[in-house]
Amino acid sequence: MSRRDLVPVGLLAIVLFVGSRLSARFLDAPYLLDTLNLYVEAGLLATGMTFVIVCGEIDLSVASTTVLVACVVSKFLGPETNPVVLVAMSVAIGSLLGLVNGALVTIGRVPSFLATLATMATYRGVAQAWLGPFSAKWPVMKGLDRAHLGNSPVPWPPVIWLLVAGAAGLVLHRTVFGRQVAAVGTNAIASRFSGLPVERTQLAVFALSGAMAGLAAVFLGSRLGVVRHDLGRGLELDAITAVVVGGTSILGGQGSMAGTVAALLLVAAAKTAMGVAGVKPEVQVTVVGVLLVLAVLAGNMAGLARRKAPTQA
Amino acid sequence: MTVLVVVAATARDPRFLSPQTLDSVLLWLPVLLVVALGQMPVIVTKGIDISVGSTVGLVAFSVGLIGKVNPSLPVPVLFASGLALGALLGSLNAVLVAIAKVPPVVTTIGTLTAFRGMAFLVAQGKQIDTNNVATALTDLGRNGVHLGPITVNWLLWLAFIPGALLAWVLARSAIGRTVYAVGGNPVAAALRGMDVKRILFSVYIWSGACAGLAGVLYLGRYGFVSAASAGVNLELNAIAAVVVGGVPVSGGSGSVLGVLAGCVLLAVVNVGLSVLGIAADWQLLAYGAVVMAALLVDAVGRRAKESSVVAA
Amino acid sequence: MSSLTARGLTVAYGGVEVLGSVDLDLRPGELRAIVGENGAGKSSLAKACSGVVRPVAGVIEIDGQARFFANPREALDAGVCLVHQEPLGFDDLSVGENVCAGAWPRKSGGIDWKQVHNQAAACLQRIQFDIDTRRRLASLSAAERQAVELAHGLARGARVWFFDETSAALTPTESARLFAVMRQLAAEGCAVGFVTHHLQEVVEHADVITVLRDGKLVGVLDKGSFTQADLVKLMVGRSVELDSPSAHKPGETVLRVRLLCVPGAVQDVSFEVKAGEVVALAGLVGAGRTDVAQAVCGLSRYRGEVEVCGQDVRRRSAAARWREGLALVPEDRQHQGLLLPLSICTNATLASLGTFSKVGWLDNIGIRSATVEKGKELGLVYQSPDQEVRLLSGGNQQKVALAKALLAKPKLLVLDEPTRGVDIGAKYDVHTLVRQLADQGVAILMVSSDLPEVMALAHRIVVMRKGTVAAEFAHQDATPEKIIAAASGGDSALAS
Repeated sequence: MSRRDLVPVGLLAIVLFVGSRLSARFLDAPYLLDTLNLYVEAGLLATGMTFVIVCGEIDLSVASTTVLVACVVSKFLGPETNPVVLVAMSVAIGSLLGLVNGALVTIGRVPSFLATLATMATYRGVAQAWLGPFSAKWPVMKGLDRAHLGNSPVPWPPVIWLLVAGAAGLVLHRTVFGRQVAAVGTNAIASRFSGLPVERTQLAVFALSGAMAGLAAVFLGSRLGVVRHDLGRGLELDAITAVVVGGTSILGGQGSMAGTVAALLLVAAAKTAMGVAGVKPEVQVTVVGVLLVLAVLAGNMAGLARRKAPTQA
Repeated sequence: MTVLVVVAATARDPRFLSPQTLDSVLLWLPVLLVVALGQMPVIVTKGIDISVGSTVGLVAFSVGLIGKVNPSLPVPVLFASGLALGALLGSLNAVLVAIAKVPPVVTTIGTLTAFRGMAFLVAQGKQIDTNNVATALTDLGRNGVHLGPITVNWLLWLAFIPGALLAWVLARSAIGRTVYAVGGNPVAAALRGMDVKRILFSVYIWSGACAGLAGVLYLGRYGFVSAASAGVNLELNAIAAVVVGGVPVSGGSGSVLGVLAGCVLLAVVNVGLSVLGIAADWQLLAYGAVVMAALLVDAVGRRAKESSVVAA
Repeated sequence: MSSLTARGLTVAYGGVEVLGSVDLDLRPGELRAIVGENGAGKSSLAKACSGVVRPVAGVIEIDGQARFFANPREALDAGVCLVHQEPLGFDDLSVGENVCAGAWPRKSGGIDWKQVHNQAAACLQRIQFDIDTRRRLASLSAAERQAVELAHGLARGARVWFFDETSAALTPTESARLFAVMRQLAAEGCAVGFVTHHLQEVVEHADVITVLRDGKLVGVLDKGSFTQADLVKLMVGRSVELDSPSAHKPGETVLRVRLLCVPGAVQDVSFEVKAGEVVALAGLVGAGRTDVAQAVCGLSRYRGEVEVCGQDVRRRSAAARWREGLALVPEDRQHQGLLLPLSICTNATLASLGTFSKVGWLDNIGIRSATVEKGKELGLVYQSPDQEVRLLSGGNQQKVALAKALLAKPKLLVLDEPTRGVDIGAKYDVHTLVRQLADQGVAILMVSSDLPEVMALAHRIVVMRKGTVAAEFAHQDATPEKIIAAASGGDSALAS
């Protein structure tokens, strides 16, 4: 863990402390662990988003991708489907939708914030046009969130997320691909001049982000048992906030998966504490948005201070 | 493109080309037009303002509340307070983007949620109903100038004011020309001694002020405001209208007339969908598809232009 | 009557001094040429006088008054205008607006458009250009855009003018017209300085010539007091190093370029590079050398053939060409060569991650030891392999860029200005390295504007001028004078 990762960890401690003063129930481990189930989807999206932001791009479409994947899966797969097939299909469809984003950015050369804003509307729009005001039944693997690790109070989904984030962290920090993502995010031109496959890397991060959104659809569907077009609104905000608060530079190049995980736990704890304090969900979202802007501001200040440091002649 | 939609819709259902349809298109236009007019200079400077939908919601509710508490307030005061509140909210974006150098998309996605949350705080679970809104205001949507069988409602006339103002500013004034210069070539603009920061600052305030005005128009159009739904997805419509209206995402050019045409197209698509009997559930997809199509046309155009430059 | 006096101007980029305590006097009515080899500090001098870069030391006086310019605008307000090689401009604004950019005439309530167009037309008239001021700038030719740039200076009342290689992109007729304008400005009492590579222009047009070498002032010549040969000798300066290329034992042809065309930059260029051979692309800035290098590396679109080891690589991406054994050290190491905020390790191994990984997993120990080893080989001075590259000096940054290329084990190494902006010691190290690599059988294509460097390293020298090959010399037939003459289109008999 680097020093920047410690910021969300410190904030997390503060939130947990404040939460415990608000309600005696708050610091109840089984309660907190079960609450974590609600943030598994955001966690997966943030895991994929870390790659996208380190690569110097942004993906606003993740929540819509999750909803569309959930919609397709529940429409096409029956209750007798093998869970493995279901997960594989979710991930595959998510990756495809992510590839569309990637193609718009690399081949169409549309700035990613516009390209993914367009697909954010389009993907959710398809789900809405398809489902209408009705909900679709999630076919298999219902109630995954109620499955606990042996006799412990630890539910499975957060454990799976942590495993996925751990693996993703290894990919980001320890593999050739992760190195390429950081290089492209630092300076795409220099990366091209150094013989790195810049466009393939960009395509891959959007596909990866889509794949994570597809996996998130499995947990969302399994937890709720039904799929509606308006699920998961604002999840992209939680994800982006977690990535940026976790110390990943919004300008790309530098990032930390451990920071993302810590920051997502922070967002989860903060929202839970606010919930305990009776703050409405709509207002909780505001706090997350403010947190995002403050994190970028803090990052800018730190960057400015660093640039002013003397350089060795 | 507008023509295509009109022809398709008329072919499906001759009723489409009726004065009633036209009236509903005209009634649909003002709010979108004003928000898109706000968005346009932002996009010319290569930025984006996603927060406008929430600004519209927050201002509509706040102004509705002001009117509810002081029913005797004249309508112009309501408009003034809407404009002022919008400009204030826009100045927050302006400070973050122009001075603190936070990327526009991050700034405005943050304020998108912040302003929506503030709307909830102001609303305290209540709504603004038609009987809370001064009839002088709602009448602006019902009445207007009769041109033969159609009525051009007063709200649309009001929306033309910022339109004319922006058209004049962009075409004729120093600040407007500098907006194009900064969007087209920021490095040269700085070397020529233009104040890039001030321009960025101004466009986000303008966008906020327009959204504020649109909030009051919203109040007059619907007479009903819920903090949860007022202005939701409006930013998407506005960005679609601007991009469809021929403002390139690479910045530096674009015209107000193009934006007007883009808004008309979106209004026609919208009203067309309902006349064709397509459920409201298709709206979001339609918006998304329109933005996608516009971005693709823009990208293809850019590619064609680049290859022609190479060939020359 | 206007004049500019500069005393002791010193300019440094990232700790490397590019201009050391140079004096300059521009007097009214005079055309002053500023000449020197590439990298001698000509442009830096013009930029320092016009507020584009801030000198670290020195005084500038305009009409006897000391001035300090924080930015180009302040310089322009004081009457100093720099005309750039690439015209600045706003494609979507009109000619009139571009001419008056930054100081549009106002009247109550907005811009005084009549005044804008009148003023623009008048300024264009003054330099005998008749352009409709309502046209969009994008529709203008290169020469017309240049005229708009000039008119902009006129509109702002500039009295001290610098032209930075302004004639480079113009045809002979257009450039004759430009010099007529300069002469006219001088006749009106302005002080005019122009930076150029074309010695012909210097001989024909300049009244006084300031000669720079390695960032120092080496001479001020008056018209008629010198020959072109004197000028070349002064520019090249030091007697050419006696170093000569490594003993030449050419192997197989590694790179064959045939009829290469890069639209707008390069026309029908052909040459070969053999294993163990150093081929230099010499020529002036803008002659298309970097465009050739980048086309060879797959970084731009081209027509014609590029063969590496006998295979046409037309369809290969830049990444694929690196895998085939081609490596590039680009000219602009800050933006193209290096990832400044990342570590030395990351940069050095960026192009050879395949070697330093097993099934995609990075071998961090291998990366570290290879970086340390290569650093020792290249004489890299650093604190830790994890140090950020941006904290290194220019010479050490260049060594990291070289390490990156070498760790990719190239068969063909493309070096674009390999010693620009590096100190003497590092320059010597780079030269030694190039010789060693050639001895080991690596084919090297080197773009260099540093003539002694070209003479010391290259077995063959391909001289480019205006996008085409102007001459090709074997090392033993080449002299700096011949190269300069071929590159600038002068008469080689005159130079020798």
